[in-house]
Amino acid sequence: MPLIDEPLYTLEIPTHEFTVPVGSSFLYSHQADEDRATPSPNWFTSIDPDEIDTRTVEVDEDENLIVHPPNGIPTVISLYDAPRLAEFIESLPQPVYLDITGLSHRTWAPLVRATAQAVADVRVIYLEPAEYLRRTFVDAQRIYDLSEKFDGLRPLPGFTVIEPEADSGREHYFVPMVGFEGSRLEYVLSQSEADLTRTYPVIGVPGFRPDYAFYAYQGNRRSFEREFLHRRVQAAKANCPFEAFYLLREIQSWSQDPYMRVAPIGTKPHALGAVLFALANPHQVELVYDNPVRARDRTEGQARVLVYALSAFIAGTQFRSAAA
Amino acid sequence: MTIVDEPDKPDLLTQLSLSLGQVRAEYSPDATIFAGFSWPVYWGELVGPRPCVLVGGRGTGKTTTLRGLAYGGQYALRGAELAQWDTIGAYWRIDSMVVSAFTGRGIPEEDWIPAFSHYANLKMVSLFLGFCTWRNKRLGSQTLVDPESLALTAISLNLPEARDLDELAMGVRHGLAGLEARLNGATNTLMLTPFSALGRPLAYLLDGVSAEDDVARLPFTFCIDEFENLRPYQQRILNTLVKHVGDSRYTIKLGVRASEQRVRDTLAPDQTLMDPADYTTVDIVQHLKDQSFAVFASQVCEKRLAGTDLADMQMSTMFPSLSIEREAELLGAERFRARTRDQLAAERPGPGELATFDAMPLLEACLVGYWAKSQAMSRRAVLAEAASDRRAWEQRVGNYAYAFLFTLRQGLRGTRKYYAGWSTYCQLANGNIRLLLELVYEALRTHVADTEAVDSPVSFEHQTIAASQVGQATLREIQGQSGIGGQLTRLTLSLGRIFNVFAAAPEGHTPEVNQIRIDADNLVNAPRELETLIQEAVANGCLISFAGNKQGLISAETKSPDYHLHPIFAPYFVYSHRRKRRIHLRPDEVLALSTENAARTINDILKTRRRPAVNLPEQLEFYSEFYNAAD
Repeated sequence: MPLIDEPLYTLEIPTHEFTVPVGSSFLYSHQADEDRATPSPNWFTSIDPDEIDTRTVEVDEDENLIVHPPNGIPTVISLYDAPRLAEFIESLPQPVYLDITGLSHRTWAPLVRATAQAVADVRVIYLEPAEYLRRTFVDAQRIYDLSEKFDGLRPLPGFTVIEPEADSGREHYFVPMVGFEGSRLEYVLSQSEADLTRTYPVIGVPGFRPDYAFYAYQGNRRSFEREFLHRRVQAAKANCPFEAFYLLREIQSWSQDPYMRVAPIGTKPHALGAVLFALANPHQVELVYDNPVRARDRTEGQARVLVYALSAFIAGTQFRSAAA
Repeated sequence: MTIVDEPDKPDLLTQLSLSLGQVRAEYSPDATIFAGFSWPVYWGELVGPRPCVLVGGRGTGKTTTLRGLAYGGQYALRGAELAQWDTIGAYWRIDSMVVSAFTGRGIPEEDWIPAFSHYANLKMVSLFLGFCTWRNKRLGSQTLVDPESLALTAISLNLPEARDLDELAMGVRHGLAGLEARLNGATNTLMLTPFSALGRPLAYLLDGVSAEDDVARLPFTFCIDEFENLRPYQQRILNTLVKHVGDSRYTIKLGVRASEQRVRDTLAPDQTLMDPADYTTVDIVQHLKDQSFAVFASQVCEKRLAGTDLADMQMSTMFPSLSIEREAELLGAERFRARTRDQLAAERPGPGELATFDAMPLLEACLVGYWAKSQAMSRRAVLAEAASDRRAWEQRVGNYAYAFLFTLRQGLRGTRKYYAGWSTYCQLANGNIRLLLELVYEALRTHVADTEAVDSPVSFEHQTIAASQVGQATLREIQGQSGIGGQLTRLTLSLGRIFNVFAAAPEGHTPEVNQIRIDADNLVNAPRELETLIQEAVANGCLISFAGNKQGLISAETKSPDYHLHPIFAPYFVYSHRRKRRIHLRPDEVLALSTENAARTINDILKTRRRPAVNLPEQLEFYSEFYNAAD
């Protein structure tokens, strides 16, 4: 199906208008450290708490997912065990709302991987922040604020590639999906053997706010200039994983069967697009991730709620034609 | 020389950008990096069957050298005849994304050892097979391996039988895919199936290479780059292979950023790798120190410029140096002398004293004023000292003249200190060829953009501006180089500023301070955090560690190294790039200098050493928010 005939999988809703439907389940972060990572109480007003299965999730040191029901004993599942995660998702009242706002990539990416194997209706929730802290922009290229430090390159659970086909003769593309923090791009460039002539950075345009794209340019300016990347910058809507997915597919089409390394180091919706793209292209796409340690209170407030119809997209032609 | 407009020839700025601009060997194809290859002086120590550890930070040419030892490099450098090659081997860059997958998940390190050993087996066999495939395609010759060895190799890797190299290569690919699937699966099933024994498959395979094959002439050389990306237990696994090189048909050359990042243990509890019994260490910076780096660097630059309109230029001519006397003149020492003369005149000098003063060379005359201020003496008294003991006075001039230069333009706009000359540039780069190329590129870029006669020497001003810009660019890059890049940036900003204030207000203090010693007796804070900070700072080229206290006067201090802030930062912060004198800092002070609230610690350090307030140089205004955070 041509792209223009594809259904829209993203809903943008003002925070105060969003409610969680009766009978569904809702998963969100157990350890929220930002305003927006805590679900607004409005979403559950006029609803009997028993009518929504609300659970919080966290991850332990051994990369096990711990799911806390409102009452009772937590469930523990390895983030690498996709079949058991899929079973767990299937066991929840449907649809399942997965709020990734306060979850790290290491937590939600395996859940998305499991969703692709599950018979379920998973919808992803993401809240845009009302504001990033002012210093975020001022110092974007100086000393970073959003992330305190990096734990270093390490694959997301379930996305390990141990033979990146370096010598296979295939063309290698590197696609860093960047945000404000230029240091993250510099870090992944310095740590990975990217072919700079086939490196295509992706910026979130349109941004959550119109001016955000400029900060992304400003933050990454040095790497762009130094490595002559500025003329290869691509754009995808900052809050839409599916646009990011389509863009990655377009980049993929520029060459015959290229090997792609995608670094989801910008917006979370872009990262979701990258994860979906990697799932749809299992032996052709590798995710490079720097595992930042987040600074506390890096954003304030909540702006819009975004609802992504994850299972519907995975069942749709765009995902399946890539995976075929 | 004039710029000739030829069709299809880019303009000079573009030529410079193409020849000097992108200088990372990691990204370039073999043909590109070896077109301008300059044989490093330590090449002879690397070739041969002996294992070797090549130590060098980013930009020292480590990757280029290791790739030069591998088959792609040897082909580019020595041609198609294997008999002409120095080594026959393959390049393996340790990828963090891969090796970090063999960690964590609640599995103890000891249990990861079989899994990673299996991976190392598959990888090394696949590297050898990769060479065989390349050789067949590129050189049209088959590698002769006896069928029994192929079968044993496959069996030892738990693979289906292989009758030829292609089948074995396919089996290895499947083996890697199988291992990958296990790593991506549930943790409790990861270790259920058996792994191969470390080193066995490779031994079977290499032992089976026919003695008549050219490949058997030399041990197969694994050039393993970015060794520091391995976890300590993974390093122990590869160290075990290094230990057994003597009775094997392979050898290993390791590239590592800093020797602190390497463990020396093997898997056998009582066997540690010993230098020189088990391997040779080649420290690139040490080898290239002083003259040999200047010569090597000239060769590299001149080769790179050979294809441009600046071909035939010699670096030492292109980058003229500046004597202290001439620099003093340029920085306005005449004004300082005049002021000192007025002050001397006001002190009612005796007969002939003014004439003595006037007869002094510029720098000496200035030192009269400088010394009087720093020692709170009268100019007349200093003049008398100078006359009474010439030798002592000349020594003083020698010791303090350079430090004095930094004081001349306090409170004035523009250049505060010059950094010029090929030898100065080499000192700023400190053995790092990438930094040197950046300096040369930046200086030539500024020069070409601003000057009509492009083949004239680069002016002192342009050289200085370029040096400052490269210092700033290097500083800005730090945050992306390490997992704790933010801390490293702040530590560099803090130390740079401290040395800058010391340089601007040296009167009455030790001149040319640009090193630190961390007082180990005062470990009040978490030492582990300090160790990580310092280790990362050294590995990423912010600090240079060297054996302090050569005389060993205080036994407790002899073991701990001193640290020199990398000289590339000197022009940006404006302090002396020459390795000179140190200050003592407590561990908690060093840690505090790497935090967001470093400004308070900077002020405390300066206050306790009685330094006056010195304005932030214009170029540091960019970081004023950081420096003013304490207010």
